[in-house]
Amino acid sequence: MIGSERIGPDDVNPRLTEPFHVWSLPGGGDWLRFFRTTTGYRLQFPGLAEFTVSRDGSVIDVLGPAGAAPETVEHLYQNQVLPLALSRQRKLVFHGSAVDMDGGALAFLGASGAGKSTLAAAFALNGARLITDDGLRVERSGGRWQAWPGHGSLRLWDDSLAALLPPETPRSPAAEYSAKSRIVTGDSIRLSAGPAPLQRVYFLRNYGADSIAIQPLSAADALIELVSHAFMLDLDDRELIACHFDQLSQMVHCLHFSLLDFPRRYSILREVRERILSDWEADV
Amino acid sequence: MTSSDILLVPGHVMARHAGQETVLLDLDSGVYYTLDEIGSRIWELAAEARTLAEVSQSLIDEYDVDAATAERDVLEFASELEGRGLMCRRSDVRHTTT
Repeated sequence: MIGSERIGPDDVNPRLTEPFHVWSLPGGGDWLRFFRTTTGYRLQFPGLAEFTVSRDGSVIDVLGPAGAAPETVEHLYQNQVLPLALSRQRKLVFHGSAVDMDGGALAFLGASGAGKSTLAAAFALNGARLITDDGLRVERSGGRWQAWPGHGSLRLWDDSLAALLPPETPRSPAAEYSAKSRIVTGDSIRLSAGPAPLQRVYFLRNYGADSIAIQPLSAADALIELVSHAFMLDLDDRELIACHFDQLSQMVHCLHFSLLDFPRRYSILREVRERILSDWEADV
Repeated sequence: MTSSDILLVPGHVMARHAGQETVLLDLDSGVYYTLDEIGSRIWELAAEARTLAEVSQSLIDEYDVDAATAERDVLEFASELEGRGLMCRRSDVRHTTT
C-alpha cells in the first residue's frame, strides 16, 4: 500500500506582509486584518486571536494562544471567522439577525449597532424563535431561500437587556472585547429547530427618524444592499464575487426587501414589532 | 462614438436584471452600477451587438420619443458606458486583440 504523510515543522508560520484588507473599529484602530498565506488566509484580531482559513474555506484553525478567553475565541469564530470561511465555499452569510415566525423568517440586516439583536430579541420574547443574532446564513433549497439557525445565543447591550428581559435572566460569559452580555437560548428565548424559509428582509437604518418608517426597496436597490451586508473573504477574488453576485441577483426576485428606520427608544419597540408584523402579514 | 458603432460587454462586467432595472458589476474595480429602466433597455439592445442606430430605432418604436432625442440619448449613454469601462466598441476589441 502506498501512503503519504506531510511532514515538517509545525511551529513556523509564514512571515506576514502587509494585510490586503483591514476592518477598522468605529473609534479607530484595526479590528480585523486579512493576510494571504500560501494555503489560504490568516485573520488577525489584534490583541485577541488569530485564525487561519484554507483557501476553499473548509479548514479553520486557531493560531496558538493570543491571550483571549475561550469565550472570546469562540465568539470570534462563530460570528466573524466562520461566516468569512463559508463565503469561500460560495455560501451566503450576512451581517444580520433573523427570527422564525412559525414557518417563515424575517431578517434584519444592518451595520454594527443598528439594532439587529435588539429587534431579534423583541420578536423572540414574543413568540418567535431566534434563528440568529448575527452571521445570518441563507441557502437556496427546494426553490426557497432558507435561513439557517446559528449558535443559540444572543448578545445585547445592558440597556437592551434591562429593557427586554427580567433581571434574573441568566447570562453567560461574554466576549471580552465587547460590553454586550450574552444570553443563551433556552426557556425565555427559543432557538429555531431548523432552517426557515426567508420571507422578508429589512435593512436597518438609523437616520434619527422621529417615527417608524418602512420603505419598500426596488430589486436593484435591494441587490446593492445585500452586496454591502454580505460576508466576503477576499474581495479580489473575481470568481467568488461573480458567484455571490449571481446568487444575490436570484435572491432579489424571490423576497420582499424594505428599509426600516425607527426612533431608538425602547418604549417604541413594541410598536416597531407590530408595524413589522403588519407589514409581514400583508404578504402572508 | 457614432451611430454606426457596435458595443460589446467586456469580460470584466457582469449584468443582472433586477425588476425593471439592471445592476452591473465591474469585477476589475468592484464597483456596482444601477441602470434605470431606459438605461437597462439600451444596455439590453446594445448587448445584442446592434449598431447604436438600431438601438435608437428600437427606442423610437418602443417609447414616446422623437428620433433626434433618441439618437442623442443613446450616443450620450453609450459614451458614458464606454467612459466607465462598462462597454467597449467592437472596433476597439478587434484592435486590441490583433
